[in-house]
Amino acid sequence: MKDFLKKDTPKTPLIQMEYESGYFLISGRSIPENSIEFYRPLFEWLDEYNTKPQSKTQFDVRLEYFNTSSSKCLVEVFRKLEFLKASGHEVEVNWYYEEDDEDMQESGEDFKEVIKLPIHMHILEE
Amino acid sequence: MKVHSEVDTLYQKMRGANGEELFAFKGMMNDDILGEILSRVEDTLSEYESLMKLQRRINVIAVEILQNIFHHFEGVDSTTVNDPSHNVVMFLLSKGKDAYYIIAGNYVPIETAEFLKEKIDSINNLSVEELKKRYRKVLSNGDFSEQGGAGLGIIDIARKSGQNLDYDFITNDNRNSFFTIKVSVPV
Repeated sequence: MKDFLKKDTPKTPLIQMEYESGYFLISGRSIPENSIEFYRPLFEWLDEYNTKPQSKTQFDVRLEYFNTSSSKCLVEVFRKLEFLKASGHEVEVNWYYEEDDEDMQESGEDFKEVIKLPIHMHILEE
Repeated sequence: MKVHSEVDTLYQKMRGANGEELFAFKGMMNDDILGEILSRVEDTLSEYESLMKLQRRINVIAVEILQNIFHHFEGVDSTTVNDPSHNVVMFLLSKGKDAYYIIAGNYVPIETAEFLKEKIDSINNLSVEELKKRYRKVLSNGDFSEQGGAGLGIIDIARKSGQNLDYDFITNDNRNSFFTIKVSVPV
């Protein structure tokens, strides 16, 4: 299976999903007009990944900020990873935020509350 | 243009009413202009505000208002966007002594104005803790309707602002209202 790679733009994040290593990264900003359209290829890739996943999947989230329609899509991504975990695979999520950025800290805590996955919070030193 | 005279009056009244004006726009709205407003806001903030977290907070509130609450609804009544008499948006960013102010106005169908009014009223009544709970509930509820999407946007803005959201609307025909929202972001 091929990796899923998308370069970042001023409105959309870098997405790097490596099949062999099971390492997933999303970073930058996510404020596309049409988030569902933007994230759909990623959803499809993840559905395929879930049919032959690695034993361990690590997902690092290093977002600067995102719109609420992207947050809905992130929930969708996390739901797919929840499914993976429920079927006995190891899944770990790392949520990074800058030390004084209460908004991104809060967002991480929102997902932690809503998603049944171990989400580890990490402070980025400025 | 005569049809926009109320909007012109409102725009002139808002300009300079909330401290130093950092950015002001009134005119037609489309995807390119939306993108242009957002990038001008971003450039302005990187010049005026040294705190990154405040820059981000204001940027994302601007995104949410323009993309989700307003632009979003133009799809609901597709005639609105193509009708020059109702395609005018205003957007102002200013800085007072204690806060930044974002004021944005746009024509929306009357029902949308009512929906936004009810949403904002109900959200203004919530405590910080209740807002958090409401946000998390909407976030976890799988699918969300067009209007639910704007609902999440309003909750997000309210949480980031930490203040009550001000709004107003002018209705002078039986289809559309010019809806204005004002968000303050304490420094």
